Amino acid sequence: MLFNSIQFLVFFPLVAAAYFAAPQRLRWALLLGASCYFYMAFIPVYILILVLTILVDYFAALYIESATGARRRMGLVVSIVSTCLILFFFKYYDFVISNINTVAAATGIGLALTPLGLILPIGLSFHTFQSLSYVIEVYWGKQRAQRHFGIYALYVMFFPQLVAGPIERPQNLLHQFYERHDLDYVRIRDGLRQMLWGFFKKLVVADRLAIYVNTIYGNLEHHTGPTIALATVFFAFQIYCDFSAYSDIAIGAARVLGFSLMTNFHKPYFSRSISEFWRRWHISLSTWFKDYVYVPLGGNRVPRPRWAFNILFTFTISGLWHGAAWTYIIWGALNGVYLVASTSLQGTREAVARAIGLLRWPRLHQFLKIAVTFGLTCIAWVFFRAPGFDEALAALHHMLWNWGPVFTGGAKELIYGALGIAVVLAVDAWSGERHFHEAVGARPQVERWAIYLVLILWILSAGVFNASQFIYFQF
Amino acid sequence: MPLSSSTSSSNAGACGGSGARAFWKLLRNGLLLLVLLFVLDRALGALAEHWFLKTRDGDTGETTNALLENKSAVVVFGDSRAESHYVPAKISAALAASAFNAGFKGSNTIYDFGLQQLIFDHYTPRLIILDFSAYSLMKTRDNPYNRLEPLYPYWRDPAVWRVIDSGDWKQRLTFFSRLYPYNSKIHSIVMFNFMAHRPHAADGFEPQFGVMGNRPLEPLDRRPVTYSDDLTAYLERFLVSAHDHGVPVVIVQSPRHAPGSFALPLLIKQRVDEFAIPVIDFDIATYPQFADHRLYRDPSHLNDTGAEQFSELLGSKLCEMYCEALRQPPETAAR
Repeated sequence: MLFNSIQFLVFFPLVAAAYFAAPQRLRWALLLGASCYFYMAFIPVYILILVLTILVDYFAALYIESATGARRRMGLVVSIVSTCLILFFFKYYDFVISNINTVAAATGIGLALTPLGLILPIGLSFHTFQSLSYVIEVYWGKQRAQRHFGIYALYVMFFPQLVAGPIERPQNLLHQFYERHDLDYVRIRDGLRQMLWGFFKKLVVADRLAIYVNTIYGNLEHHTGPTIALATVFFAFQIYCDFSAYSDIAIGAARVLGFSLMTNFHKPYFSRSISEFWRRWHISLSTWFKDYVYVPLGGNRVPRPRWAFNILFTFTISGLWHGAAWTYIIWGALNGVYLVASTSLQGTREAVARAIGLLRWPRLHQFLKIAVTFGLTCIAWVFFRAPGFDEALAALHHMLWNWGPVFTGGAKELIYGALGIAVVLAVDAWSGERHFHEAVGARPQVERWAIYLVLILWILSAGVFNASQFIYFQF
Repeated sequence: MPLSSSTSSSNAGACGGSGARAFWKLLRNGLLLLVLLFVLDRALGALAEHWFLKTRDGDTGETTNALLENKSAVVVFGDSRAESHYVPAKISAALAASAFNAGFKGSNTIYDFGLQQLIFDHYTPRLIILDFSAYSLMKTRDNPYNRLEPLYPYWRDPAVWRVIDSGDWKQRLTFFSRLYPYNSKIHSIVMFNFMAHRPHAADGFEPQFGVMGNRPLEPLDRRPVTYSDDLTAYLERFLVSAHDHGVPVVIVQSPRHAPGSFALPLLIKQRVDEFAIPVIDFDIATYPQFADHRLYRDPSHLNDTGAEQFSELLGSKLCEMYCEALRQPPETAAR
């Protein structure tokens, strides 16, 4: 079920009403049932994959907790391998096969393996990682294994964050299923406010920008460099608004029900460095990779070459997590290169800034840092968005060498898109360190209500209502 | 490290209240918000409707107002190929009758049928040119009724509502809002009425500029296409309705930079035979002048120069077939 669908507008109030009306002992079952229904609205049979993952990790965690030494480690390995095998089978098998076939054809080996052509279960990477996080935490002894199978299933399947995160940690979420959540006006209002901002970003900004971006990236060879550059900037905001909208709706919906989920985005395009960007972008995934890959590899407490390897490795597999294509791998690796380079060159950059007198204008200096960071992320987004590696290179080549007029396509989409971006940036700047719902909550009631009404009427008059999927569903 | 999520709910107990009190407060404020929203939606919807009906130009269907105002004798239907291939001025000059290009990018046969019914509710044209596009009949992943969007502002028209009503119930729900039918049209309403008002109504033609690269002719993209039964049925209803209104239809396959053309679905072929509807196919095997890449923006779309040449040629062909009838008064011609 999509958040931006009429079905969800009916489903969610019904679930919320039933949840608060139900006795505490039955609430987990109600939420689990609702989550199953929510997931089965996509492809019903794929719930079996979820059930398999849940069963494997539930019993693995119990075994790991009771075992010691090598058996404990074996339990972890079996759990991780079997959970990742499911992910590999659905997400990466065809990618590997196509690469083997390509290599075989290039080397003249008569091998042509058949891809499976399976449809990727929605959100598979998200709940796989959430499940892995639980087993690893149990192995590390930071989390008790969950005895209640239903509660554990709900931890993996909790519908607000089931298909696109935030990827929760057991320490943050599991205990909340045992807590009593009463009907609380302020909490519900806060949650609904956050959901409204999410709907605005998705329907008015992201899906509107998508029209222009899809037009350009669908016909890259027909467009000039400035047009592709503009489409790339639009894509940067499209994916931000799309994914952060999902997170806002997920966090807001959970808050209405009384649950607190972790923040996933914090004004990433105001970052002054790539490392800051990754502390603000898809925080739940970044910290997952940091905690379960980067730090176990040694993190930054290793010699410099090893640290650079750790960064590059972590970002490359983060790219692979996003999708089974070389473009995603390059996107991840490129971000790793950015991070290594920016950290290594920090002294040089500061020396240059001092030498040209930039430090005397701190605001200009900050602005340039933000602009450069944004520019670098946009270059990386080209690989993320382009349909293939050749197309990504062609897009970058066009941007550099094929100068010409910008395709306006009737100007409407440009105007709506630019206006949407301006609103999102203005709100991000206005709200400072707070989130939208907190900043609005601090305003007088008349202003708050005016903001609600303007947002809803704006959605009605300029939202795109074709119920398109959120981009991150495919991962 | 992740920033902690909102803390504004942490003091909820102090100021939020719980249980019955919270429920009634939620209900009261929710209803109040809905009432305010209802009033504002009606007021803004009425304003949008007022200004939309004055709008004559835009790229989300606003030119339909110009068509209904001008009551053009010849009307072109179809998708983006129709919109950018048929120059009404050329067709009008050849036939000595007013012409309008009602083609719309990305449209399908449901839109064609809905627009035709809207036109019939206002007047009866003398000739309909239907640019046949396989794409307007293909099954798509999205709901095909979404393509009716340019007709939403005319939802009060019974014929248009019947078409909207035959679609998805979820679509119908959105019409509780009076502002929603003008979704995405605020820009053209503002531009036309307040910033760049043009006294003359548009003729619907949207030329495409630029020249495609000189690439060798490739056969028509004949990847297996599945025609939607629903969309084919709407095309049949389009032909039947025109027949019932006594309006001749001519089906045209305008040029492509590819040899070959799409076959009509069987059901449509039967109606074409039954109503003796002429089909003019501008396949470049028959019209080699349209093999020139300089006439195209891309393999599927003529550019402005190509559209001029094509419209002139089409106009002369149509004149051979219809000039005599178009010179007659409407009643005589209908008989």
